[in-house]
Amino acid sequence: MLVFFSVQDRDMFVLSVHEAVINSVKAIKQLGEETAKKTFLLSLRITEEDVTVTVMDEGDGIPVKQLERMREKNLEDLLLAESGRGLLLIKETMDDIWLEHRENGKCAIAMKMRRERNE
Amino acid sequence: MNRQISTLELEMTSSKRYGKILLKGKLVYNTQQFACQKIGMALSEMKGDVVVVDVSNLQFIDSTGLALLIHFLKKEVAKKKKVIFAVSSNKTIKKLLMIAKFHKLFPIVESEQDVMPFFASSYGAIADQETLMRIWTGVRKRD
Repeated sequence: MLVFFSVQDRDMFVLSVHEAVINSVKAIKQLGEETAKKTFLLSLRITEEDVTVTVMDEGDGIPVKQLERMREKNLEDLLLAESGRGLLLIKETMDDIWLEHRENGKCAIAMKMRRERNE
Repeated sequence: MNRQISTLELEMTSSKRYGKILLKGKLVYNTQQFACQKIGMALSEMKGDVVVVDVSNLQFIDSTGLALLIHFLKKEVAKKKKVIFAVSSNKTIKKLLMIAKFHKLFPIVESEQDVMPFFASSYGAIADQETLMRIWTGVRKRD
């Protein structure tokens, strides 16, 4: 099914989804040769108000250090860092970002952006 | 099936006062290794003290691409002989550089032409990146 939707900031929406997917790709790569687990799931929930994107993979979840950094730091704190901006970019550009703990013990990144209003 | 593959192209030019690296395409996770190699080679061949990185033709840059720019900035600044400008007439890329706070590390100008008058008045005084940023910030405040 092909669905068209608009959001407040298309470029930043694309960037944030890209960052979450890259995060999953990296997590999957760390699993090595366990090919059966090399999948990730991307889902979109589109309402009149906003679009929610959830990205879940079969990796080992987001490292605690990375989560703490996302909660406590901002992009200026990582000005000269050579990694670790991904989640912070999502936090900065989306209206909301949160983690969903699933029954299988896995963790999904979820994010939300408001729809564009056509007055 | 026609698969769209992330690509990156790099062009290098030199003028009397600075060398320029023009990046085209996508500076992202998929092109990271290629970009690292190419930019590294271009910088090692570049003569002079100032490097202008023109990102106006970039279609997309992600956190990996931003990290790569920082990697080379640090490397060049450590050599104390090259200074980097980021050039962006591309609104999306510029917005992203600003979100990442890169304007605190290097001047972000609209086009290469904006660099010329700055060099004409301040070239001799630019000893390092810190001085460059101090002079640049002063010029911007005056304007």
